Amino acid sequence: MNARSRTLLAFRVVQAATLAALLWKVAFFVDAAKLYYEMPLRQPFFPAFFQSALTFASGYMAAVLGIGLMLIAHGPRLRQVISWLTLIALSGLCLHQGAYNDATFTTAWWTTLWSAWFAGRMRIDDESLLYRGTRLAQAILTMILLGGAVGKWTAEYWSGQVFYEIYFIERDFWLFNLLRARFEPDRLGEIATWYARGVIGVESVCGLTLWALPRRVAAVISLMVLPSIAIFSSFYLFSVVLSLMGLAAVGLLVPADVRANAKNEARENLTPTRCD
Amino acid sequence: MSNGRPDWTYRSIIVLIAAVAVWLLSMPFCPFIQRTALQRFHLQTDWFAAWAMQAPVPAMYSFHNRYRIESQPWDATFFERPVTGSINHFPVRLYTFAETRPLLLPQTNRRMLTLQSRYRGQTLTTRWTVIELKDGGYELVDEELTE
Repeated sequence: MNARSRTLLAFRVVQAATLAALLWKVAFFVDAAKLYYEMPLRQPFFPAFFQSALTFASGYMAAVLGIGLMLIAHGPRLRQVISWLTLIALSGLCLHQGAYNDATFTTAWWTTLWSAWFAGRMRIDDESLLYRGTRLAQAILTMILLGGAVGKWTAEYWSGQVFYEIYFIERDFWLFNLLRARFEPDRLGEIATWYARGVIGVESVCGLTLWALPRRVAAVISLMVLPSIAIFSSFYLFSVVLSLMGLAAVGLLVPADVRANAKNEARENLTPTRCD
Repeated sequence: MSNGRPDWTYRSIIVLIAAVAVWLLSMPFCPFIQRTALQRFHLQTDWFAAWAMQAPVPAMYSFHNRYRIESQPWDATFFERPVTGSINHFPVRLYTFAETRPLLLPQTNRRMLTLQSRYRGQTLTTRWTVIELKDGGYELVDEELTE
């Protein structure tokens, strides 16, 4: 597979993953759009545009359509234009009264920002593009995991109290149902403590180190950690992590020789040139 | 740099990521950032534009967010107990998001929501009241109780 094919494959993997993320809860989002029409909520904080059910519905449809088109589009200029338009649609969803809280759109926003940059550079056909794309993807993944970790650096999370209240008391999910069936409430509290510490530990370590790890190692770790977040807390979270898994997968597509070339290129750029 | 031309988009994204990372890493130590983040969660930022600028900052499952849904004081009866619990993030979503909006807004006996978020010594408490509009729909009125 030549450099151009690998680059195109990387772009399409990210689009396929982001599309899957946006469609993971499609039935819920369709119902949400209907509900926002039927039960409007006036709230002075949000401008009218960002309270409108029409903004939500059209923003969601534009984002899904845009990423679908990015997946199949052939022209590099077309891909780039659609990427930026899709980013605008996702920006609207990140600010909408009925969607701002859903991290599905936050992670899709970052992934599409990566895609908009990547699509623009594909026209230039640079051999080191995939290498730099992986580096940028790693930086995005690190920052997003760091965001999850920092918000949990509190005594209430560390003790397990927050996860106990959110998940362990009554969340209907295979893991918590299983634990409730097997353990008494006191023991559940202890398990919640170690569950919380495991989550905080993994997110913190990844959120501080992922950017510095070798590409393939970072990709493999990300592809293990991200789905585990959904598998062990809520399958709905696949809508949040799928787009990030697409970004992580880019690291597996960088061939060893391109990484070596890119490093040599960087070293040459740093070496002072003699002017005889 | 590639093909001799600087890649300004790439550099801009790296700067944005670095800025978000610095903001996040400062949060445990900086009361200003803690207050700003809590106000973001409770939709209490002074300007919508300042709130919107924080949208790229990831905040999944952050802070200890608790809620209490109850009757308004003059409507309360002994039998209507408050509904309490914890929520993972952006607690005002109890009313704004489609998941719970249809369950909570029509509840005529519990139209007052009190939210409290805590992070490393900082606490923000807000109260939200639901008003049913004559022309259909609802209005959400809020007040900040403590900071």
